[in-house]
Amino acid sequence: MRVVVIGAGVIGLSSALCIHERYHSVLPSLDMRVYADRFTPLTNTDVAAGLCQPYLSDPKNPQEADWNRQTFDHLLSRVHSPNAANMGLALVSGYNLFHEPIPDPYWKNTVLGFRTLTSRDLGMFPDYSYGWFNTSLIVEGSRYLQWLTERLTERGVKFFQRKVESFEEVARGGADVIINCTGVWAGSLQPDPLLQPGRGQIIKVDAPWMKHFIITHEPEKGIYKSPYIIPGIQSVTLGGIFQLGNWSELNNTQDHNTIWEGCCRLEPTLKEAKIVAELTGLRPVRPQIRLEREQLRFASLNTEVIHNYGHGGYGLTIHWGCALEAAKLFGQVLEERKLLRMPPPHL
Amino acid sequence: IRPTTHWETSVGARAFSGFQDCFFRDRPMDPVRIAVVGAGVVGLSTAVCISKSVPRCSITVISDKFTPETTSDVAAGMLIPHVYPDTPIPTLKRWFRETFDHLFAIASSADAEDAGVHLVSGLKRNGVLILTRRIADLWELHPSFDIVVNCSGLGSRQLARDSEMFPVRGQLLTVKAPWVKHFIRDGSGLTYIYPGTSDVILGGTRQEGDWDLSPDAEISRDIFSRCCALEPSLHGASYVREKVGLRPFRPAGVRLQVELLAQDSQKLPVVHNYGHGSGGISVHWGTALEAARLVSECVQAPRTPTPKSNL
Repeated sequence: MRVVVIGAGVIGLSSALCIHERYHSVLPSLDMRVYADRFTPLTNTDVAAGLCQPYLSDPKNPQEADWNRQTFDHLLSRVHSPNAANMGLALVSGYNLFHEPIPDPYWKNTVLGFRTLTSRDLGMFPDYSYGWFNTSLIVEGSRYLQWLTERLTERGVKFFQRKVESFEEVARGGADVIINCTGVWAGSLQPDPLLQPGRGQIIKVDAPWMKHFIITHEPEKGIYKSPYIIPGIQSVTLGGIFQLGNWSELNNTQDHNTIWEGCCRLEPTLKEAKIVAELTGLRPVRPQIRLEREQLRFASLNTEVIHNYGHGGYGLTIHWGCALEAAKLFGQVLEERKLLRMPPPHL
Repeated sequence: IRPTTHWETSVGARAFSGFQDCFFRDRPMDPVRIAVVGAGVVGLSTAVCISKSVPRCSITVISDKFTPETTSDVAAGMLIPHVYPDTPIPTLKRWFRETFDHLFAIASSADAEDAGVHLVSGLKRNGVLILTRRIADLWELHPSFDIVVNCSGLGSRQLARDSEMFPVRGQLLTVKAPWVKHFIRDGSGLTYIYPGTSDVILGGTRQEGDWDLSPDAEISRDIFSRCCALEPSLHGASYVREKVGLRPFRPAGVRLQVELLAQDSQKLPVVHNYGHGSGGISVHWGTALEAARLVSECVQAPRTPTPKSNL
């Protein structure tokens, strides 16, 4: 049974690992490979700040709330392990700031210690009048992808640097199941008018005294269009750009200024911080994640595709719940094809 | 022209030789000359508070050790409220709150990163003199100074003849573990993990009566193992250094009071501000404000008449 995962961002690699962990012992013929034209540090995952925080409003697909929670719980169970730093995992606390009161988010009980800010807290942020404080996790994209790559390599999963032009080419190459984790470029394999880029630009600075995240919001403008500061393990990410429909992967000077001025106003100590890097990424924006099976026929070939793309600005936040779902769909494929030696492990 | 006078020589030219910049007052309108003994966090913050609240004074900070060689430099710097037996709880609360608010204001400013040297540069800007010298007896400061502020920490065992004071030795490790963004402290506070600006501080020990300033490797291993038990991700941390500090412990807690030293017919007011134990960083600003108030009271009290010059 040949399984090809297309895409080596967090969705591709975590789906690959989740499926391999659950099925390789009951599927001796499992031959898994990853095809991607970009690997870390050149994926969109590498640009993300890595804070586990869903969007503020309830997701269109209620399953996404479960996937977010499963991901948080999964990472939380690993954050105190000796491996945590190698995985890029850390606990981090911080602030979400608003200009007016808003209802508590659906994930308030998933994160730790959620509370609304007191007036003494708000005294630190003179431009804002309402907010939340909670403890969450960061999972740094680059380190996590490296860690996933090591786990997959240990398991004998092979990686191939290639640009896939069609599902058919992969099917004709012998793939029985394709896991489609092509992110913002999924439309080139199969048109999807619901999928658009949400371009983001970030500045990474050296500011080790910043121990908290600070995310501001202007709900009418849309998510991540307002300054945010998210400490990572080695550097701090400054951002606040979300441009729907913009495919440019080049850094933009005006966006740089918007980020820098907005973040320094929010946190004046940043004026002393040294800039370490500046990056642009394309969030794969979609009204909801496409996570479903599709059967494709190419002449005599019946190929199963499991789509797993469209995670917008919350891919790291939701990746493990989606990987579990992808593995569940994979299990269904195996059952239908009566390929399993024993009952599938309970997911 | 400043007259050289017989009464300088009466206390010994030797004692005076280090203070050539200090002129004695021959008129009450002359600036009050204040010596602050000790340049740890308590000494420096007290000097700052005095410079802001006592008008027309000249301040000299005198110490044998300056940053980075003071006990304060070893401290992790975590603000934790402390209990001092002889200090009422409302006063303790006030000291802690004043210190917290003061540091909070600095933390939010653009100077935050340099706050460690913030105190020293603030002093030099305000015209406070800094003098490196080991004082063996507070009387050495007479008559060059009108008031002495004693912030000598453990040195008060000798300088204030306070035999109740003893060191509580603390050892700690500094490691690189940039993923640790929270402090973790076990109930008694013996084991702690405090993220600093760039490194993480792991501790600690409380060894009463132990004066040894050199780090002990066995203790370091024990600290590391206790901290890893609290936070296993620390196994991935890389070692930077070990440090030892001697907490200036006084069973009754902080001594914050005026003592009027007398010798023959000479008087020397001393404002004591020492004995902070493990709470130096946590309450330093609150005690500095109070020490400055005591200094103000001394300044306003009727002054010992100064001998007339021979001119």
